[in-house]
Amino acid sequence: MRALMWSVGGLVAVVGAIWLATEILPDATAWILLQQRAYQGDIAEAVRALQGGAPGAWLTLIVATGGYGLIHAAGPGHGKYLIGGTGLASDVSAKALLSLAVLSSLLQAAWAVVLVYGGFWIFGLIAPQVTDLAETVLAPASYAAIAAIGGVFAYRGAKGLWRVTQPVPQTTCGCGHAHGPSAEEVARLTGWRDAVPLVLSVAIRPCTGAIFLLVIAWQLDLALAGIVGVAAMGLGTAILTSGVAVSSVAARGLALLSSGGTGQLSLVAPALQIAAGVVIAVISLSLLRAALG
Amino acid sequence: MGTGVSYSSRPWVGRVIALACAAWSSPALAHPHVFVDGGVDIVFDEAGQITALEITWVFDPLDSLYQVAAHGVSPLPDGTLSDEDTARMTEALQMFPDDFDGSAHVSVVGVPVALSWPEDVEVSMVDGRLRQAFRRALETPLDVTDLPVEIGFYERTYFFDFSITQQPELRSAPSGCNAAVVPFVPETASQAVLDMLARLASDTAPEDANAGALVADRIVMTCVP
Repeated sequence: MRALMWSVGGLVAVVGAIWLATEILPDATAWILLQQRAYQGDIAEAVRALQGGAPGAWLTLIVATGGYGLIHAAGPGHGKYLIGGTGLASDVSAKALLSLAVLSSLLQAAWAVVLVYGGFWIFGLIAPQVTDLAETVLAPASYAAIAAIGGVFAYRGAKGLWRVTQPVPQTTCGCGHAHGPSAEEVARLTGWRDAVPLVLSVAIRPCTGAIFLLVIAWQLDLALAGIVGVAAMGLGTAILTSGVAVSSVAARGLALLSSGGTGQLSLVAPALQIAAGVVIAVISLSLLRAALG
Repeated sequence: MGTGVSYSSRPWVGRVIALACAAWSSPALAHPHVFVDGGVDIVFDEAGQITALEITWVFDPLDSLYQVAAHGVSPLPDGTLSDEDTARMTEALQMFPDDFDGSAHVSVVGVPVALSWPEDVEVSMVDGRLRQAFRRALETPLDVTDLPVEIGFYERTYFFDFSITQQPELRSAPSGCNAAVVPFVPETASQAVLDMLARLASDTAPEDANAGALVADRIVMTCVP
């Protein structure tokens, strides 16, 4: 069991490293595009094979949609930076953040199914109306929600920093600084109250690729294939965001570790929180501006 | 992004934060959702002037399925459309958005040439791929003898990734005209273009409103009498 956990952890860390490398190396862009294009071709091929009644095409569909989700998630969106920022900003455990990353990806997939099939079946919508809703309403809503979370992080960090820098006269310990009463408390991700907005802010905005597949599947009377494919896409996305989750928690650990023993620990945590919150808010607001502009 | 926090006397912390900021501030990786193959043919009149471009798009298999499905059409098992559905799709694809930029950007000696709105739209589906062809006349026929002509095959915002996959035909061209395809090759692109490419985000509008032009395949034609 432990070996399995380590292997999964190792895999996730490797994926995280690949993600980081692709972020930094522009040359990787061409490779990513090539992969994305190939997966899109495989998805189409699998759908057409299913249309022709070939049962073996299910596996092709799952592999192709899973791969597409993973590759596509390397791009922007999908809450990757929110997950990463949360890892840096709070003392959330790697396990908890992994759960949030997986949950948000799967909920995003489920919401896409509800939106497309529900929109078609119940409200008689047509495809352009659904994509329009996703792009003009849900995407900006997601960016705004994520920006708000970034703002909350920054606010909590500022509050924590203010508290630890206040002199605490009655508890002088002789170690040359004031003990922050609640820096770590402030940094703590306080259970459901924090987790729910985090997951929802990511999941509310369905991925365009998922909408494409669902529209196709609905038209071709392959509704189940649409659901299976989008679920696999969500899992692929989850693998990548999981890598980000683990990397960010590790990065926070390093940052705290390197400041340990110098008595600055109580300053580093809120400072990280402010930095991560500001970065999250700035990215989200620029995405929001682009989406509305 | 410039949000680097210059906190702490511990270089480690600064470095970790800087790394995180660098990773995030390039919301990286262009990923267009739609890939379009095709090309541009060049039409000459009897006087040897260019009068029109004939543009062909072949959508990627997934987008092809999406486009027909979005119009309530299912391809036949052999990856073609019935006559009725072909007519339906042809009707649907007559409409071009107001900000449509044509995908063929012509310049002569570096000066852009104005094209009229698309006409003669033809639509078909072959082996599961939707093909759309249309014609764009030059607003003024142009004698290009001894003048280098360049045609960029792209869409400005790079949501669509166009590639030239067919050799340009020179219809009724005078002798002495030759065209060659110059594909975009990342390896020979400038660092600035690579950086732009890395920053591109198709989920949003790219920072550079003309991003597509920087990564475009091109046709270069010369007519020497």
